[in-house]
Amino acid sequence: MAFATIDVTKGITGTIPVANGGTGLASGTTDQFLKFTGTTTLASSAVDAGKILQVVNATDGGNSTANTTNTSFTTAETLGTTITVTKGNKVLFFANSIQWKNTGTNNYNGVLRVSLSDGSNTATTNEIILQNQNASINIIRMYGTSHAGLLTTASGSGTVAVTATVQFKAENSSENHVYYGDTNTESSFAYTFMEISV
Amino acid sequence: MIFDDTQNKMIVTKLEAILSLKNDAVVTVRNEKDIEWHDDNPTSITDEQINTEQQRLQAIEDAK
Repeated sequence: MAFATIDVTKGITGTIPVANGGTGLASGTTDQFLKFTGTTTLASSAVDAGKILQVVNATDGGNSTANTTNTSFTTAETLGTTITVTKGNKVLFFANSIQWKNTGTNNYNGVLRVSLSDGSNTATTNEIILQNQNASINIIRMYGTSHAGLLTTASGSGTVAVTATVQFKAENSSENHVYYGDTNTESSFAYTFMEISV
Repeated sequence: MIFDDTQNKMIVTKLEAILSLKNDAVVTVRNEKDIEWHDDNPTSITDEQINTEQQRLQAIEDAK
């Protein structure tokens, strides 16, 4: 005997309850997930806020060099690894042991930070200041500094890539200058992006 | 100056050569080749002048 088909678009009105194998829903919310909000109730739901959704780590920072006398923040290096996240989510960034140094007249500072950007929104990490180092040290030492920052990406649908750019500046162009990075690949620094749901 | 592991000696950088030519130059040098002038290079320092000065300073350093 041939199996009779049912045209559900004509034979059923309303929604099919969960207890009968349906969802009980006539529509859902774009970009959200289906979640049991009760034992027999389904609903659209965003991912819980504050959850880490993904982690991207890289260890290739600081394998290029840049030296500056500029007194406004300028790019030392745009880091090669990025993270792609759902728009509207947050990105927590850490960089460990960024190597740089400051030299020139005593008591003039060099400053370094990392800028985070999704092309629309930007955020910066903490800034680290180094004074010119002790004149009794003949070879100027390179220091590893740690930085962290939180970017809230622009809202919207879809995804967006977040990049991190190391920025630095000198306090006085004629009194001090700042060195960043090292061509020795054994002295790179690590950096980490974490996508956090909102 | 930076210490070069492979040559085991101090290397005079392009930035130091530029500052030797103009001590208040506002400039960034990336990877020892790309020069970004933030002050529009008002005295029109050329790459040739920078390279010549860098070699002169390096010779002084090597003689130490």
